[in-house]
Amino acid sequence: MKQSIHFGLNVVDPDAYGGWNGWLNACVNDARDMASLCARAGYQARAVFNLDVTRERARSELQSAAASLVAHDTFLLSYSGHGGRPPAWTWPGYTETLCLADGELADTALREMLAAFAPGVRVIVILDSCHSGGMSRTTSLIRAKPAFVKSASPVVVGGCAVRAPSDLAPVVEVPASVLMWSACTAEETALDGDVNGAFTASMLHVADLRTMLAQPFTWETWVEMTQAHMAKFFPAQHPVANRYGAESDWNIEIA
Amino acid sequence: MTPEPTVRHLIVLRFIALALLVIVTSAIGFGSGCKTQTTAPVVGGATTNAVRAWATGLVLTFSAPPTSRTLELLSAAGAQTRDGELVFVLERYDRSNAAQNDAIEAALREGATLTGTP
Repeated sequence: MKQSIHFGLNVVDPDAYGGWNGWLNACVNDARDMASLCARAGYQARAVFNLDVTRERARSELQSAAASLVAHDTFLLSYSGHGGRPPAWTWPGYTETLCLADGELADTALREMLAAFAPGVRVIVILDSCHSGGMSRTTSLIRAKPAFVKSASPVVVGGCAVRAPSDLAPVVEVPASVLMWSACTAEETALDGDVNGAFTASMLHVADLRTMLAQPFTWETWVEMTQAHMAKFFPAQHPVANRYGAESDWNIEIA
Repeated sequence: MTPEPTVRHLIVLRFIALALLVIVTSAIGFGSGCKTQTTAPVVGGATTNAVRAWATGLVLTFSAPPTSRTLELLSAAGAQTRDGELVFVLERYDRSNAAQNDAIEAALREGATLTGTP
């Protein structure tokens, strides 16, 4: 069985972010298009948008998937929206977050959710946000506007993800096999766009090419070709693919 | 009446040829039931050297009847109903098709599940 859930936030709740609504342009499109792509690849795909993407909703979606999937099943989560990079107690002094509608979800909290998946399950997490879930996204350069960066630090807006006990706890073991594919490095920002974010647009472009030509299309191929595409068209942004949890061969067909 | 020796030989040769044909075709899979096909070693549940075809269309499955607005968008996108009011099919998905995208987004907002066409 292959399941996927896709979160896209063009806005967040201003009450949770000190009056900031975090407006972005292409995140809902990103989630929609990733859902369509996954459906074509054999997934049962759903999407949640904007203010419906609360921390509790994200937690329940992942818990539900973890409870229903068994060895040899695959789960894919994609997120398109703002990210935060607030100070943290732990080294290197920052933590990355996803800016959900009602507050930030720290990377450690996400890892705890992924730890609920059973051994033998493949989990793919695709994050199109700044700092791999860190700082906010800039407006697209093709609009010829100066980049305007908004920082979603909980120290500024009153969130407390960075102070959660899980930030001080040892890193949890993840029995499943995880491929986490991020739009950029921890120090970089991820570009928004008129239709899709730069990272999502690149992924979709590569997927269109490979499927149209009916060529072998594995996860590793997708990562490699997307990185090459980004290097050519968005050289300031370097996607990162991290593999952790149980060791697994990701050179397998996506569909 | 016993056939002439030459005709007898022809009959025997015919049966031998038929027997050989059955033996040979059985060895290569025809006429012996299902064809077998060796597959590449499975790694993690998927073959590593088979190119799998991606679905060309989308199936949108609702858990409850869609709203009238979503129905309008589905109609504008050319979606066909299947199995009553809860399943719609976009036979040829085109990522650049704005009408399809609007319909897909509306369906997803209402909690529909997307799958690929067979």
